[in-house]
Amino acid sequence: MRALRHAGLLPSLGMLIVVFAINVALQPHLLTRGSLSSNIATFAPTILVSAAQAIIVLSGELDLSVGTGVSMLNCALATLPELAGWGLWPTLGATFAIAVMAGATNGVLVAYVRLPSLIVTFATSAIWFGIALFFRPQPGGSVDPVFGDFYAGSVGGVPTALILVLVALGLWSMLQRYPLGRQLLAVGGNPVAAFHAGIDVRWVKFCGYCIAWCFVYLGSLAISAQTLSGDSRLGLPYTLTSVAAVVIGGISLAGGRGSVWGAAFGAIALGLVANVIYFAGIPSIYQEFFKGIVICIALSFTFIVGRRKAA
Amino acid sequence: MTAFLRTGGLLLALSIVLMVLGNFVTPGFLSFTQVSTQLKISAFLGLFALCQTFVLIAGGEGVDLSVGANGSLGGIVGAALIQGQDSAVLPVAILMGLAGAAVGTVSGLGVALFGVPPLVMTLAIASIVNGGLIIFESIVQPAIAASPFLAQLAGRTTLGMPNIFLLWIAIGLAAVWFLSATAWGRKIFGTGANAKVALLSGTHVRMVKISVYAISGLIAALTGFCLIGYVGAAFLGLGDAYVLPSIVVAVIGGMSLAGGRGSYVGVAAAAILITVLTSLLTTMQIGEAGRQIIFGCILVVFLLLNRHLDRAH
Amino acid sequence: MSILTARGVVKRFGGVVALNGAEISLSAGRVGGLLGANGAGKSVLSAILAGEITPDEGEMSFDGRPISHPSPRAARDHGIVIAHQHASLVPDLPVWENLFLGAERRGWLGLIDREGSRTAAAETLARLSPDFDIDRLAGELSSAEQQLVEIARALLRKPRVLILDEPTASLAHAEVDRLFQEIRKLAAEGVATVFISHRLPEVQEICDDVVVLRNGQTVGSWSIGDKLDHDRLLSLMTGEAEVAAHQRLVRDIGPVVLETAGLAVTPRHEGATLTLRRGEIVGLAGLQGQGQEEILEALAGGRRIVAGRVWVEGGEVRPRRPSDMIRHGVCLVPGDRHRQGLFIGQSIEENLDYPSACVRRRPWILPFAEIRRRALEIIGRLGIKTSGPTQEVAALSGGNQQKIVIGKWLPLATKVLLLSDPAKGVDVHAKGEIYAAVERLVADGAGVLLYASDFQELLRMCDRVLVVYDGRIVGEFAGETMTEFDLLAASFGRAA
Repeated sequence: MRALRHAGLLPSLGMLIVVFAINVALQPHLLTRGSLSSNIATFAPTILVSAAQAIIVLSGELDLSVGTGVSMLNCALATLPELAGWGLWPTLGATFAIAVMAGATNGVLVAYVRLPSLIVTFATSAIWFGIALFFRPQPGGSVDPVFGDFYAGSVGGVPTALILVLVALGLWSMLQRYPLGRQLLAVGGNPVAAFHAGIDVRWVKFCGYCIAWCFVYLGSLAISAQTLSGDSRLGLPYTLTSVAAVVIGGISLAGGRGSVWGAAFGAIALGLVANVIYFAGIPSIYQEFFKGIVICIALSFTFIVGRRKAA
Repeated sequence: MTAFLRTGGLLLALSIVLMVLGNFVTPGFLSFTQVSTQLKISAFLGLFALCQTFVLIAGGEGVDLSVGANGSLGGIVGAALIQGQDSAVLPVAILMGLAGAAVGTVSGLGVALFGVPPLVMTLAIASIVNGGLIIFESIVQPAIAASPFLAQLAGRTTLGMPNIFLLWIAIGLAAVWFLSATAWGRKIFGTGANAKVALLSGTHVRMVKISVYAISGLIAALTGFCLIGYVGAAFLGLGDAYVLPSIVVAVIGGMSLAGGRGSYVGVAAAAILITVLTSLLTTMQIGEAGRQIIFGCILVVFLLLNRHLDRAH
Repeated sequence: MSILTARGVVKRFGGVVALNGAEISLSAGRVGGLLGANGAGKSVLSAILAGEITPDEGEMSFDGRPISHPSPRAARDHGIVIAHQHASLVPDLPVWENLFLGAERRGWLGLIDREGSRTAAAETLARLSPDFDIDRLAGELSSAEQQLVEIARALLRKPRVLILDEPTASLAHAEVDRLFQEIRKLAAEGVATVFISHRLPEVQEICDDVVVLRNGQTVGSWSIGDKLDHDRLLSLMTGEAEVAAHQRLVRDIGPVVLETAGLAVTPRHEGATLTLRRGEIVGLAGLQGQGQEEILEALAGGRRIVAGRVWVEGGEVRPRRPSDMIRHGVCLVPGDRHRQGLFIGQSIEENLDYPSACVRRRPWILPFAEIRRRALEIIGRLGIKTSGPTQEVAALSGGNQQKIVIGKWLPLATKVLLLSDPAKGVDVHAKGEIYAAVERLVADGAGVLLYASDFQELLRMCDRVLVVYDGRIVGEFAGETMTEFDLLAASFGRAA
């Protein structure tokens, strides 16, 4: 319990439970396997991209280019087969390479060149958008349907999407048992202390970006397996949603405090909120408005609780 | 002060270089109408960047992601109220300013009283305002046309300079004066430089923070109101395209993300520079893909230059 | 036998020369004291030895072999470890993780060895302070506790050279004794220790040798047995033949300007009851962390009051925020001048004018000429050494910076000046100047409430001294009965 409190997970978990309960009340058949499966499959991309953002925020930085990054990777997945004549596996591999290069680019600019992450990732997001447009000036292309079937299916009764998310988050938790995982937090919490302790702050932040973009890659796989085509505008909402999920998840934007699991809870909560608005019969024109209100409420809740803990 | 004038001068010089370059690439780039258009767009961008300037100086990682939404508010509701009549422009302008200030005050309350990070608070507020405007548009089906006066304001020139550009200069000078020569401006700088010191020295830190968000909201709403004169009609998402560029312009113009330092002079010059750069890229007949990539790369180069200049001084 | 030697070390920061040919030689098994006034370069030199700063010139050698690429990691590999004056901890990680940051214990498959780390952490900290909870987050610790963690971290690195920068600044006597025991144990094992401190009695107790720095250069090194008493050390540090004794001015003491009854900041404390008169300097004494700083902050409106009442010049006030209290003439000079006292990036005249700008009602436009004139006046009155009112305060020495923090209240007709350890970490010479500045304010008719961790300062400056224990006043001393012994006894809650 103490560990949970330390990670600030209680508010996000609490909110998640509340929203889930409201969702079940409005949509009783949510609790069926089919419904839960399809929900997880829909939420998975957001969860993974939010996890990526969480890793970067924990190290004390920000990445506004994850959204267009998802677009870029999605368009690559949908276009490389026809462009280069590759099968599924080489395409997956090449896209992974693109993802790591993107993360490394951001990492170098922020960690080694020391440019402010807010602005420089805004610049690189334009570059990723341009690359996405290069692959797909118009929406189209296709992702191998086999991949889509695999994603929509299940392994041993457990939905593939859920396995994907749990494996990704599980790998992060494993990393937390290694020095690099803890040093990422240290570097975000007090970079000077980390430096004095002999930690190579720049290398650690750089690694943070690279690891995060592995999660962005997985997120782009998850969304591409659903749309089965490429669209340069696909990823745009993910940037701000990931930031909202990170904050709802109790992660401090200053860095060093919080847990990636919190961002996952926050992402699920945001997804369920969209469900709630839909099933409550609120006309779609009100959706944007209510999403904003709900985010406000969630934030106030998180911060009031945080304040009381600090006092 | 001289350091900031130097940054501003450098950026303006770069703008002129780009314009001359542009004329080689596409003849007619330096024509009167073209330059006029550049100045008009710079004015709007510069005004939105002024919103960011106030919020950035006050520190606490201040940033205002709701300037677009406030602009749309000023434009859409403003158009609805004036119904195309010139006589209504002045009272409606005042009303829109107050509305923007009210929205900004809510953001400021969240940031100052609840400690919500500005990035998140203004994001949430933007979401609410945009959502509200969607509802407004579909229920009320309001008038969307601008009035002749507004069209003249945005479209015509006086003494060869676009009116809106002159208005921008006037507002810019007023802002610079306010920030550097009044007690309240000093308090904004103090709050950004070190909020604890400011508090112990007798500043109402919370009031100061709320005030900068209110000012930002006010300017954004009024700018949106003027914007409908330029584009002809109000529509949803009117201000959205200006949000992130306004932040970029502020940073390139020398504002520190940590707060407590900077001058609007550099920001204004940066607004002109970014506008010229963007239109240069547009006229160069490269596909959108190329444009985006080049824009991103140039931005990175500017940031590198900025960092280099900073270290030198 | 010398382990670590540095010669001809030069370091410049911008235009300021911090070290100009400093040298030091550390021998195995000996404790070396590093002394010097503020700005003499002690912290810079120790940072260079620990690999955190790269010198512009100079050579360092370890075990006789030259060191070429200094970095914290390289220094650590050599076994050179430093415990900083201000603890450098990651606030959201627990104490035990902070202790092993950057030198994590690895176990099976390269995973972090949590059990082993926690055991070692608990054991080492227990030697300095029994019953230390290693699971607490570093951000929740008091400054004394942070200091202990910082020292424990250094000890855990199995140093061959241990550098302690002002380790005892926040510690209680018992903890200092335990620390000295650990240092002696290490010396017996052949470790070379550098002990930086302003507390000369402690230096004489623990050190075998002493190196004195002045203005970035090494004045010399001596064995502690060489007839080195306080005065000789002080004159070596300041370059003056004699340290002038401070004369306490005789003052007119006026009517009561401040009064409190049961002032408490936490429900536990009983509350402080005191009176202060115009022209009077009243000291708050006592052990560290007994609530002295909190009382001052509460009176200034910077901390919430849970119980008690306050009167200024007979009228009751509610100190809810600093701007209220400043309007009543109650001003605070906080303990941490860098973080709470000054706008480091701004100029002298901007800093000096700031409180006036906040209080000024009309006109809203800043009167630049008057601001300049007033700044020059204050600079002259307080003897601030500067190139001009437009100079950045960051460029000033610690003592002069502190004078700015005090001087900004001069134009406001201050009635009550609250001082929270104003001369902490400031060298002897500057201390005298700061207190002279305070006395000028008192001469203008202000009442001063002064908290100082150094009893000697209180005895020199104050007309009366109140001893604080657990947030309440447990003793009052004045005139003849004011001796250090009495104050100390009362601090422990016992009558003399």
